[in-house]
Amino acid sequence: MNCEHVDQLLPLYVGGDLEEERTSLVAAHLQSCTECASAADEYSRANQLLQKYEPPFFSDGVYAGIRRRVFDEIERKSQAPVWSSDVLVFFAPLVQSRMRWITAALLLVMSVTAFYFIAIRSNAPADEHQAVDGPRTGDGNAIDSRAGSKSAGNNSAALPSPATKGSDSLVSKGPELTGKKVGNAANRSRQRAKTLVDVAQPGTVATTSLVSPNKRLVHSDVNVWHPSSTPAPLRVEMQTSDPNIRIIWLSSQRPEVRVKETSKGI
Amino acid sequence: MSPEATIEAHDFAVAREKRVPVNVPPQISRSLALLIERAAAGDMAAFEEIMKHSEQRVMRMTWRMLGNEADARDATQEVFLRVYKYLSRFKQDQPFFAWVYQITLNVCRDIAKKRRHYHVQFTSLEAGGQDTVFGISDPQADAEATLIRAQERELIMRAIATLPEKERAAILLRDLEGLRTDEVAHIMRSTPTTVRSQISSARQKIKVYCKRYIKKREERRSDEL
Repeated sequence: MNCEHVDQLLPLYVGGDLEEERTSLVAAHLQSCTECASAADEYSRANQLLQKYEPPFFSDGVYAGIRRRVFDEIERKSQAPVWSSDVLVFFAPLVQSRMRWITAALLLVMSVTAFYFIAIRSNAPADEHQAVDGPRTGDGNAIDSRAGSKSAGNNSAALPSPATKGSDSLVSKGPELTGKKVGNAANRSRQRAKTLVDVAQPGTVATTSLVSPNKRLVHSDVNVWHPSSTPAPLRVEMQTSDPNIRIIWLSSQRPEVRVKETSKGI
Repeated sequence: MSPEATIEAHDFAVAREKRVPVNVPPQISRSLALLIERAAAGDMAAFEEIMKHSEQRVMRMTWRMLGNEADARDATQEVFLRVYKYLSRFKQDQPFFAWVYQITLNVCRDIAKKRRHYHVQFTSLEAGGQDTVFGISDPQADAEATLIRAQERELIMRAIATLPEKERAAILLRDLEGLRTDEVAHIMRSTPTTVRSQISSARQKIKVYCKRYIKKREERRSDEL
């Protein structure tokens, strides 16, 4: 047995916590190694000091006082309402040291789930969208613009993208317009609702009320120019829920009559 | 019941191993079992007897764990409140005082957490001549020896205060309460191997701490000379 090994075993050896075989091996080593013997001596002195760690003398009065306080507390608790103790007993396992964390985690999960569902419900898209027919033209054409877009419940901005190649004009209105999300909103708007704008008779101005996904009213005014030899530009003005923001969309091409398609699942 | 046993005398004066039974001798344990049964049924006189049997042991342990009398009193009170509360759940086939020690350690842990800074709470023994509190004062004792005794107690108190809670509990139960390693393991809900490791670590730390103090004291003495 070498000195390193003995040095590890000395704390247990001095307290008599080694098994018999190892005790005798250590004892034999100590008889031949002065360094280890000196270390064992230090452990011995520390152990003797430890034995002097005795508490002070406590009088009978101290113990009597403790007993009296214990009985007072027992009596006080026994006079508490029965239901309170039943409630405490019922919830006690939930606040025990080991269950406490599980209970807290479960409560947190439930709170987050409840908050999530509440948030989803409050931002749920309006399935019904309202379109108010404007004045009909002589040939029965009506101006009908709808916003069938469904926002994802956030402040996704949407700007009307100009009609390209005579395709349907796309107008999708989010709840608000924010500068940040213009780019994404423009792309989204192309994928979302399609708005049909029929060309009304010249000189008519149609006002339609659109209900945006979050049920904020957006007004759009469609101004139609008096026909002339040149195709009149189409101007669509939309007032967002923010009174300071108004969208004006100009198109040089006359919109074509198309079958309406509503957006799906936005 | 574990018998009294001593280790063999050793050239290096290894401390005598105390063997104190965790449970009391059979004739007393029968009466204690009866007391427990009656106390669990609500007999306050029986519970008071139980307290008298165990209050010194509990107070000693709480004082050693917490380091000051005020905390020790609060802890002792709380220990007995919990003993009363859970007495009906105590199974007679397990050692009673081991169960009481378990409650004591839990209470000391809770109080130490509340206090947070455990080592600060250890009351200094050097202030104000508190040596008379420790045992019967002997006016004929050498003043220097008395001072040395007080300093040694302070030293060991500080050394104990530096130990982590589990090592402190293990070494107090093993070296000062005189319990066997397997009994300590049962109380601490651990294994004998773990307890031996904790005891070994605690003794090493105490030895290093004491060695530094003794070295400083010897240097001071040599400077004075």
